[in-house]
Amino acid sequence: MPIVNYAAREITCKIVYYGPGRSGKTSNLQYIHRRVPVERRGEMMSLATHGDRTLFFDFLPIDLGTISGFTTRFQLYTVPGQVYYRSTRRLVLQGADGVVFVADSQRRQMDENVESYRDLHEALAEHGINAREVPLVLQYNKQDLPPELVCSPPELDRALNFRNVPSFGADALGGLGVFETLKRTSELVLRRLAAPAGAR
Amino acid sequence: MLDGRFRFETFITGPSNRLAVSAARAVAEAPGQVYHPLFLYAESGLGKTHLLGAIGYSALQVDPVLRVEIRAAEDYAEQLRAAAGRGDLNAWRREWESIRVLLLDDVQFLEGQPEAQAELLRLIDQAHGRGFQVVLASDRPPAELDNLDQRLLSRMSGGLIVDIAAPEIDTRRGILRLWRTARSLNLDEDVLEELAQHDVENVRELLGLFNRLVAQHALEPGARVSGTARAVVAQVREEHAPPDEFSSFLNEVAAVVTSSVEQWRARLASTVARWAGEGYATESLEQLLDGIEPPDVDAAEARFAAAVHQLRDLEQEAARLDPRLAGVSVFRDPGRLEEARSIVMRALAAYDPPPGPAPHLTIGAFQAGARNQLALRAAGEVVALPGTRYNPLYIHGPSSSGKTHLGHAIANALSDRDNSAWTVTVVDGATLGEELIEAMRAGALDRWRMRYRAADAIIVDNVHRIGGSDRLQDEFFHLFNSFIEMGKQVVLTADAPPARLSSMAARLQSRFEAGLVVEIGVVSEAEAVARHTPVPDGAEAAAPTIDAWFEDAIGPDAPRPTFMDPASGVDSFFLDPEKVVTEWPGLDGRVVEDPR
Repeated sequence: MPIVNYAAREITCKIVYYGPGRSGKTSNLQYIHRRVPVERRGEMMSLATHGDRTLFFDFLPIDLGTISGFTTRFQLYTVPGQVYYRSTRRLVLQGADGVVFVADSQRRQMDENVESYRDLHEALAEHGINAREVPLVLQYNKQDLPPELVCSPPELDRALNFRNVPSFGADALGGLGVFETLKRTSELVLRRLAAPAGAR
Repeated sequence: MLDGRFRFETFITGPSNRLAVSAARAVAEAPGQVYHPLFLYAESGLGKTHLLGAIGYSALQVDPVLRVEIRAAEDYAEQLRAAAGRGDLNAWRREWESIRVLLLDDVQFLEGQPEAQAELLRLIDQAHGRGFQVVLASDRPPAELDNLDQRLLSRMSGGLIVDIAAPEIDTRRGILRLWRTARSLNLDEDVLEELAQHDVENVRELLGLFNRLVAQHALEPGARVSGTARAVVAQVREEHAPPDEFSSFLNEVAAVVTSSVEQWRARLASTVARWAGEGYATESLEQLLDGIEPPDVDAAEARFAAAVHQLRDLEQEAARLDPRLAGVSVFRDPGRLEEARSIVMRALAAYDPPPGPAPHLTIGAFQAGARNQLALRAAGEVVALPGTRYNPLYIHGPSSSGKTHLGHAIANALSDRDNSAWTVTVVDGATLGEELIEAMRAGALDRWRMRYRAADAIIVDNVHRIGGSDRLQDEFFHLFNSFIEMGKQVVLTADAPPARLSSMAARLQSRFEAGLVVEIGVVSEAEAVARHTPVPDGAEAAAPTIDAWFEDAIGPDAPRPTFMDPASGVDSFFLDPEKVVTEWPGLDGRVVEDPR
């Protein structure tokens, strides 16, 4: 559940961008970082290798200001997608209120997507999180590539979205679908504030 | 004036513009022969002007003596106005009528200019008659041009109308390669591909992208060009993103937070207003409204509604018993439900008091003896500390053993407490059962409950007679529990210890045993042996009285021996000190409080 401090009237949500290596998780955060006014965003912390791959994680805090008397903050994280950073992914995923799974739409990356999605479910299970209940949104990134190279969103839905969660085609570099994904995830996370305890 | 840069050779053809290029080539090669007029339309920056120029250039290649003019529609209208102002309209007409290939750009600017439209209509008609060519270009198809003369619209639609779409990726690749060649740049294909992948709305945007790449690369010659291209594309994409993307996101999040977090306050406030409107005190709900953490609103509303329902029933009952109680404020305050219930119970007790003790059955009139010492002492404890010491006090014994007397005596003693302020009821188990059946039949169970619950203590004589019905025992169970929970004294009498009340529910038996169980009356030797009453550790006080055995066996006044003469004829079992304890500790030690 999002951390809701009623005494201090604060809401803090942790959203984790999960997905295979080079699928565009960091690009999502970078785009959001550029679009958020300076006074609303913290420094985006990123530990990356020379190959632009996330080595540890990216962290982007966003202050949404006071909403209905609650100081509302989002903390966006990415996990390193490479297979060998499994334990780091587990750590970053801990306490996630919502998850965005960023899939690489390229046909040749389909196996990596499936493997990473399976890994996400394992990681959630290890944290005792019911994958059916955690707010989850799929993003099919790199839809801007030539059609012959990428799978369409319906194709990716068939391959990955067996839970029938919300999904968005995206071009994280150009920003297409980035905020749509974040909006939907945020909505799912925040709606849980109003859900009865049994439905959370 | 024709611009030599605009030629078919420098116009990249692709699916988005193939038809337009084909039509343009056709009219260039045979002006006035194929499509008259040719109408090209496209968004800005997609090559209309280029194609007009290419038609003119190509037509001149075919026939260099042709008079070819490319004009903007605005110039056309302006010159017309000037000529009309000078009174030189005929000369102006002759000038335009001599043009063999007229290429008129941006005809959308003729909207709302009827004079210019009329002249253009005349010009198209004349050109058609003489085999001249008119090519028109606009940002919209003729049907979408406003304030256009219908006859002119008809002429425009009579030739060929063709559009140019945004360049698709192959066209973009071709355009980029053309520019690379034109500028003699050393750019790899993958760099061009990076740019070509960017979906542009028009060619000018693509040119802007290309120019940025070239300029950026010139500034940072050491950087990888593909990285620069990616950065340029990302930058352009960002610039083209909706400016208020974050605001839109923020608004949506705010709406969700507002509806999610504060929803409960709105609901509670509405509930408060509704009940307050009906005249009920809503402090208990308002306190929740002032809280910081969201309560379980459903449960709070249900509790309040249930309390209101009970208050209504209580008020109705109170008014029946005493009309002066109708409308008393306590019946409009769910926070004072217990107080309201207490008022009704008192009214009920005054109206129809539960049965009390027989006045003559007092402690003083009770015949004390060895057989009832324990019970009598326990009764004294109960009177001294009602509801706290032994609750319930369970007295069992055979008929005529005095247990009914003792029950009434306890009731009388309790009634005298605190200046006779105590209401103590004594009821026989059989009567209680009959009353219950009658109350259930009459639908007056609540009234029955309140009548008894109003008492400060209850003595149920012959509790074993309540009956075997589960329903009756259920009701008695709740009555019993309400007394115990409120610290009110319960005294029960029966003909057998709880464990031997075969028709009594186990949960009642166990509760009866939870206080103090004492036996009263004569226990014959034979009975005692036959009964085999188990004596749990620490509960020896509840055991059959050994005193009675001896009294029956050897007489009440005989000295209590530690050794019995065999000549007395007593069963040798009772004379065996290993089998029978004959020396008991003091009486204090025999009253054992059972931990509850």
